[in-house]
Amino acid sequence: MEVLIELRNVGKWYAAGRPVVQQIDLAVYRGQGLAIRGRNGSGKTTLLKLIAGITRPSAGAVRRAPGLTVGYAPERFPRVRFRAEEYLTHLGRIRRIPKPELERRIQELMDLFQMHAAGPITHFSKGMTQKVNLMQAVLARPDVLVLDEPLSGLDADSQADFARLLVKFKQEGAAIVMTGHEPGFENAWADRSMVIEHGRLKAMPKDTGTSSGEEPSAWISDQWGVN
Amino acid sequence: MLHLVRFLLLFYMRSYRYLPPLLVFLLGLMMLYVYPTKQAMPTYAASAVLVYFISAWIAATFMGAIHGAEEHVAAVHAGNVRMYLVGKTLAIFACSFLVCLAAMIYPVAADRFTNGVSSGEWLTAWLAHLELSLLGGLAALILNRTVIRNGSMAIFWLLLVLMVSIVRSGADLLRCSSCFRPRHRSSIG
Repeated sequence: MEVLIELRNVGKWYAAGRPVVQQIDLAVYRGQGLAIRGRNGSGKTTLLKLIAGITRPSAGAVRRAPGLTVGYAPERFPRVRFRAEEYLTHLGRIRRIPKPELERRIQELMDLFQMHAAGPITHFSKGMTQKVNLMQAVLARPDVLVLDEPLSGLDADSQADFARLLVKFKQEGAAIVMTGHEPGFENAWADRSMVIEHGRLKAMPKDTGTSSGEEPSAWISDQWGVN
Repeated sequence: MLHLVRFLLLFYMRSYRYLPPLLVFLLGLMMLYVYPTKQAMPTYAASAVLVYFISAWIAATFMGAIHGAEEHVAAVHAGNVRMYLVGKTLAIFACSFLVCLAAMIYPVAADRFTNGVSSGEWLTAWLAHLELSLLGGLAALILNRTVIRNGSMAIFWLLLVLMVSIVRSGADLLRCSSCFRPRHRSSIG
């Protein structure tokens, strides 16, 4: 399986002696769903930021496959003063997606997420705002989709719809890394489940991939000479 | 990069956080030029100090206008965090540049200099405005909540730096402007 991102002995701390995450060994594979569970403050969001490249590790190394496209949906997506289409257009242009292709993609996502609301996002409900959050994350057809508790605030029907979308993105070849609290949130789409406790990542029984304590993959050894 | 800068500027405009510094700037500029003046440089020196303060204020409100999660989203779309920070800095300096432009053009357009402005004075005043607006913007970029975690302390240090440097730079600019005064007067006389 193709490794897209690999974290090797990664640690992150904002104050000396108080690591948020530590000794993380993790590989993200193409087309695979990885669910990460953990309590509030356990280090889930920091781990996702490290995977998405938003923050740098204080220790260890994060390696990405060349030309990798990452989509990221934060937990607390702000209600911005843009209309949904306008907002997505700006983000798509920042990504340098050609205009005709971008218009097609936005329309496709609008239909897929059944988003027909007009007006600025500031007037949207929590569920609608979360849809915009997910739409911006998948806008550029990312290789890796990093989702920080995207189900919070969604009702049961929306959660089921969302799980179906995740399966669809996986079938299109995207790797999914997602955190959550909800019981069984990973059942429909995840191939691997892990739990993070006090900043340390542990495999859950369902997990079959690389987890903490394993040797570096052949891929990372070949690409960057890590032993 | 251009798309990122445009997006961030739009984001800032729609937050309406620019209104307080803009209103204070316009008020200050109008007060400065209530009466027509013969000497351009002393007034330009004062408006440069005003630009310095306003640029820092704009930069500080710009930093606060964009929610942390939105910054992360924009950074991922921009490709990396460094690219995003460059875009944000450029957007802040674009705002400062507009403030400089207004401070330079207003007195000329409103015909507030009775003796006109020589090209040397114009260039010196432009450089002083640009330099001080960059310094003000940089001070706010450095002394903000991402660097100093305590928000109140960040504001305190920024205001302290602004106040101390306004006294110093204002005195320097006034001294610099006096270099033009005798020459200008003699050419008229």
